[in-house]
Amino acid sequence: MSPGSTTREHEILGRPSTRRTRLVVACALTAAVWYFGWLLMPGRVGNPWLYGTLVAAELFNLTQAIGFWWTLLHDRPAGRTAPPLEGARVDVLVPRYDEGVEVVEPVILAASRLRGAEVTVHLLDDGDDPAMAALAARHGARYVTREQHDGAKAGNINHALRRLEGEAGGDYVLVLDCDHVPHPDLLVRTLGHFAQPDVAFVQTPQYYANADQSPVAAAAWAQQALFFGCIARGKDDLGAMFCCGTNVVFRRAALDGVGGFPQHSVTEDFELSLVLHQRGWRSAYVPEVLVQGLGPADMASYVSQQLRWARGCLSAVGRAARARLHWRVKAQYLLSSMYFLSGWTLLVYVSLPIVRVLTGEQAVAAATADSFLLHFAPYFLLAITTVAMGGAGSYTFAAFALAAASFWIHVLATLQTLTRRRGRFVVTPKDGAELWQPRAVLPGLAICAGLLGPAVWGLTRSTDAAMLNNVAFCLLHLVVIGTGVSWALRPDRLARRAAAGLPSGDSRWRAAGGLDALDGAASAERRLVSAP
Amino acid sequence: MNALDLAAPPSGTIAAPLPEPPHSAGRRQLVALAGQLVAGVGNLLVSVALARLLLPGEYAAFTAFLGAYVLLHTVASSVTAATALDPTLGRRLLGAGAGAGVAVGAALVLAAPWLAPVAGVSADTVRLLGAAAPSAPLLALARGRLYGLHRVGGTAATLVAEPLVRAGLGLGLLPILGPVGAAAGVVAAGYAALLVAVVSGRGAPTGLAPTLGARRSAAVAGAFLLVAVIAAQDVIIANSVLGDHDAGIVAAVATVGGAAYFATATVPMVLMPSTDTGPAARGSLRAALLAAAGVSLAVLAAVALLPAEGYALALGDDYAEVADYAPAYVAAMAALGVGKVFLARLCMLGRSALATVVVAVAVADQLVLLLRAETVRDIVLATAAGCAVLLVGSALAVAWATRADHRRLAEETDRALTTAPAAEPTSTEPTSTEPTSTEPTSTGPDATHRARRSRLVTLLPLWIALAVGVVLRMVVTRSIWLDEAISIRQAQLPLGEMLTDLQENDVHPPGFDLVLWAVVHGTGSTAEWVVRLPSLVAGALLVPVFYAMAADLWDRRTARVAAFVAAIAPVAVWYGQEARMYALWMLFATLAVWMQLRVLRSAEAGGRGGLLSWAGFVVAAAATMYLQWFAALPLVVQHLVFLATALRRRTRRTWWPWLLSVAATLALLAPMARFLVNQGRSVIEAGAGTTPGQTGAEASAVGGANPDVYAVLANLVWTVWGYHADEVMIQVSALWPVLLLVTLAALGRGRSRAVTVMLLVAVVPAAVLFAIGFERRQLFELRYFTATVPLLLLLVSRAVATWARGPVTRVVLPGALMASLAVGLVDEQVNQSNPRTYDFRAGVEWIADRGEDGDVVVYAPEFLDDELTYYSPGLPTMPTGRLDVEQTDLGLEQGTDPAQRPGSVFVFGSFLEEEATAGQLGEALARLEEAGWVEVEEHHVANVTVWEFQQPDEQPDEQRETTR
Repeated sequence: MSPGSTTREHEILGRPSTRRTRLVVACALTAAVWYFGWLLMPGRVGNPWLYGTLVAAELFNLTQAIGFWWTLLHDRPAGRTAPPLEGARVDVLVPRYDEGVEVVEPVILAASRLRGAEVTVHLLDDGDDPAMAALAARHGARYVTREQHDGAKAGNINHALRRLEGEAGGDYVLVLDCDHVPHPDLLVRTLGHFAQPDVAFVQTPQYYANADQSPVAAAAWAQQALFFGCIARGKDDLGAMFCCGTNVVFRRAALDGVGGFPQHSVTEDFELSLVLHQRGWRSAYVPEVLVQGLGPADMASYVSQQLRWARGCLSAVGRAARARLHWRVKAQYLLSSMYFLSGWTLLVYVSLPIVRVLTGEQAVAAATADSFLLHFAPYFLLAITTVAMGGAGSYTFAAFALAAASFWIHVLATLQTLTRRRGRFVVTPKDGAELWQPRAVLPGLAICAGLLGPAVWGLTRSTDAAMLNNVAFCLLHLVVIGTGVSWALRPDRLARRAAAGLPSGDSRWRAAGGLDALDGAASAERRLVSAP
Repeated sequence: MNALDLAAPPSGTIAAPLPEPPHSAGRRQLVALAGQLVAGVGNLLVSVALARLLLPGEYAAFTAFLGAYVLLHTVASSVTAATALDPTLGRRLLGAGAGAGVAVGAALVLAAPWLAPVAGVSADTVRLLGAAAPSAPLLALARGRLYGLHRVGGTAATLVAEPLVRAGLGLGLLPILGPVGAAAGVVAAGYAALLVAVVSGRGAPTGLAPTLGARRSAAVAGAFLLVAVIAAQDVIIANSVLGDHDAGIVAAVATVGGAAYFATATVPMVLMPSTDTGPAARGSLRAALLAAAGVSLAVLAAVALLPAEGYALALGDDYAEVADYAPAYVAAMAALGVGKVFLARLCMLGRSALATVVVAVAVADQLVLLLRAETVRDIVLATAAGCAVLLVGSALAVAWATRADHRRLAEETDRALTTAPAAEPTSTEPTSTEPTSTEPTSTGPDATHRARRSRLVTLLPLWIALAVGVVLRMVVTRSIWLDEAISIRQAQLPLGEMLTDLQENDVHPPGFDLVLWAVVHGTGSTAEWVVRLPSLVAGALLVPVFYAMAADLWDRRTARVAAFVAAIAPVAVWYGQEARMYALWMLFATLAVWMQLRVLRSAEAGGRGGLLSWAGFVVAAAATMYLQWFAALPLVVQHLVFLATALRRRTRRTWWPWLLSVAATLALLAPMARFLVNQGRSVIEAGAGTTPGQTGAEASAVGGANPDVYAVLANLVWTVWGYHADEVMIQVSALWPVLLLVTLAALGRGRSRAVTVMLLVAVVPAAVLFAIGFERRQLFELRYFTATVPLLLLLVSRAVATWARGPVTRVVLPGALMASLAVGLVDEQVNQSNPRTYDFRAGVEWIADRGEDGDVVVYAPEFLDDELTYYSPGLPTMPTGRLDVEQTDLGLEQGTDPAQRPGSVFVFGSFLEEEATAGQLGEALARLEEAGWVEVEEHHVANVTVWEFQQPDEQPDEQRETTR
């Protein structure tokens, strides 16, 4: 792809449509008022505990929904692109822990061929692997290691930054995860934003090049596409885009000013952004896929990644709430960090029909199904429509199912945060084990059993409309969560998909001629450019 | 099945058939068919003659004998098919066959005293059956051998021999021995046929090698034996579960219906000895299918065109009601005839075990229904269901087996090409003298044949869907509905009067009435099937239109799913069975949208849309307006879509073609302008505002006085799964969370122009009527946005065909949809609690059975007059409103002989859930009781209640009873 091509960009990340979005958001807000006006009427209280739980869950989701709609309204077509910055010097930091040569080498190679600046590539090896030293030497990169491996990824980067202080380092720092291959024009497209002196960092999207190879990666990418599409563009417009840890270019002075990456969090990127924004720095976002990485290829990888994100973001809720920021920026931080509480709401929704089937107790009283549907259906449909529109078709049922099946991660992360259990930085596995992984989805499986049992039992007791309705709700949840869980139980399908096709991102780049510069390079990069 | 089938036993084959040109297969089929038809007609005439000469009880006994005789011969003739595949079986099984025949015969003769009372026939008849037993296996083997040797002349001769002897000897003995004489004639005819078969088979080539092993022979025999069971068991079971009269009717129906089965009996047998691969096989299969379908349809047409008087004339007055059942039964037998061809093909492909399984399922299906049967109709439906299962199952199995065979051949070829050592370039001489005709080649005639075969296989699902669609629409269980009765009355008027009547008393455009008028006046009949024919044709055409449209817009997989959805979608079937405009509306609405989407596709590509597509759109759109005024709603939406397209810069070239299409549509609709004005004036003058004055418009409306969510759900369920009892609707509506799942599943599925346009055209009219429904509740009803039905079904088909991506879900999802549609269809058609099912026919029949000259029928509501005119009970009728309370006799003598007082007064009521009607009826019943009439019986059928009143001195002594 040509990095300047907005057409290509929107094919991947979705195209903003301001007028239509406003219309749908207005309708969605109206529907929300219509629904909550009905739900919150005093006469609706059935079982007070259940009702209270339901209302809490609904209000939390409404808050998230309104936050999403607000962000969506700020998703506007990109303005003029910033002109390239002349004569810049960039240090490219590639932290590595235990990834193999076949993963790291394409990144080092592509990084060394970045255009638009004088580039020095640093391979920050926390694994002390001689093969990495050889790799760095092969491609003219600097090999950096350290004696004390503390602070995980943040510590590794900070160590490199401290070393660079003693040298005549560059003015900018590009951080790339060691499985994220940059496009040659990454710096050409991003450095121009630093012409504004208060811009601390420029973030670009994470793109999962293995989305065509694994259903888990595909679903995870669909979730990412929603975030790096409309949400990130909206946050950028609100001045609240945060750093995502990779594919990000920092102004060196800004980094030095806050002492580098915070090392107390497992989501050092999120915390760093918070600090930078508090110090008055601004952020920028370039909504073009300029780096291609590898997403979690199986459920174990996905669970590991999500648990780390949830743990980190939830632990930052307090700091975000206390931060001295413009209210808009603070609200965006809170919305993002508190998103990882949404698993609790799903637990509530799943529990209600089970409780109704088993005990007959229900949350809402004095309401016919007709009345409930009349008020709930428009809200639900319009909320879904905003998601579909925001994602421009990229957000799929699989993505929804994967998120739903991961509800327990949010629950677990919340409990860990509340008990102040120390999180551990775990590198997201880059290559799916493609094994049967029931343990990775055990809570999901338990919930499925918990839905199926009462549903069957309920049907043996009665087939009246009320029972059928609650059984249908059980089955609805069962299908959604079951779909998300199923990928851990079908390793053969993962294997088939893995063998099926090319990484889609690579093929796009190849079609656009973006990888021409890499042609003829080492065999390792053939992972990216192999012909069909 | 019936008596006539004994001439059907199929058989014959040649061991190693050589490839043959298709016309050879066709010729053989024709000769055998000719013999079979002569034999069939002959047997029919003999049976008809016997039906007239014997008393019903005697004829039933004779038919029972004939059924047992046929069963005997069909059991034996199951080896005919296997022998047709391998004629050496004729000699290999001769000893065993003769021995078995003699043993069975001896057993029957010895057991006659005990069997006779059980079977309800005389001991002599059982003994005659025993005497016939040895001929059965021998005849089956001899005929099978003839088929296998391609001795079609001999085959025809042995077939023709049977009716000749039956007629000569059986009818000759009848005056002397009664039914036993007739049975003796049948037995003698069997031996005569055997003699002819043996003589015709002489001089056959020797040294043929056996080609069928024991297991495969048994499987082939088993499959065809079970086919015979399907055709025979209904008569036998009917004889035990029904009374004499009904059993006699079933026997007569089976006798008539067996004509179709009989007519096609030779077709699979002639097919089987054909070569099983290559172009000749395709020619043979095509010839066989054409022969079976053509002959079946011809028989069906002949039977359907015969009025009730014809049956009475042919079978006697006791059998006039055979006319009610014969078309459906004959259609079932026709399906069975075609199904047998598929079974034969399966056997040829070496899938005889699969064939057996398919037939076994059909037999089981039929048997279950037969055992629950209580009426003649139930028996006929059971047989129809069994035959339909067999036809569909065997066709699907052939499609699968053919494809598997094709794949296997391709793989073998690939393997051969891969592993074959490079031939010496100088060696061009063939090294083998083995025939190579089955080897695939990539060019020349074989390639052409392969392409044809590929097309045949590709379109096979369509043909199957079409057959299913036609059969389902022909199996009509409900009586003529009120609106149908109105249309039928109008259609019988002279054209001018009909149009005037429509303008003054109706609310619909004249399109359907004009079609119906032409049909009624063209055929001179108002029989149920005649008046429903236009809808049946339109409903059936919807299947190929769905297929073509889906293939054109999307892909072949969607097309296949769509075709089957159209075939079995309950509402599409329902309206395909109703003499109203809705099936035609669905058809033309679908065509209009299809043509519009073609125009839009062309416009997106920079074109103007294409003349044919524009013309098709205009004609189809105008046709919908001739059928229903409410067609204006989707039409407006479609034109708004065109307008939006024309306003876009990229597709601006459609501007002028669109304006022209508007002008052309208006020109086509212009003749209706005056009609519309006159009708509108009449409606307003009548004080009905803009509300259609359709009778029963509120039938089965779920929900309250205003449209609500459940009304939306109900209409959605109706659209996809058909009409159901209110209780079922409430339960199904409770499953609305499934819709949430569908909504979620739609995430990320992408949009297309076709889907968007179809959604708009489907949803907007319904939404408009929903809004109007707050003023006129009855207008938010599926009938007024019927165009939504095909579009929604197409969208469902598209979703089901594409949303599933895994190998299992790609099968399970469409399968689940089809299964749910089938369940919906069965419930819609069979469940008498369906509030749209009004069994006026049964109600009137009950009156006709009990009424006598001088009796009177009083009815409410008043708009039942057309219904009671169509299903005339043969008695004077009057609405309850004409009861004269001032007179002591309530004015019941009006219209009858003043000197004669009515013996019984039948009160015929329906729509009792309507307060006004219930009030009218209640008042009428009270008046009758006040006038001294006493209720003696109350009869309930679906949504119809009939009360019988008599004066005390007219009452029978037995206690009052209430039947339900």
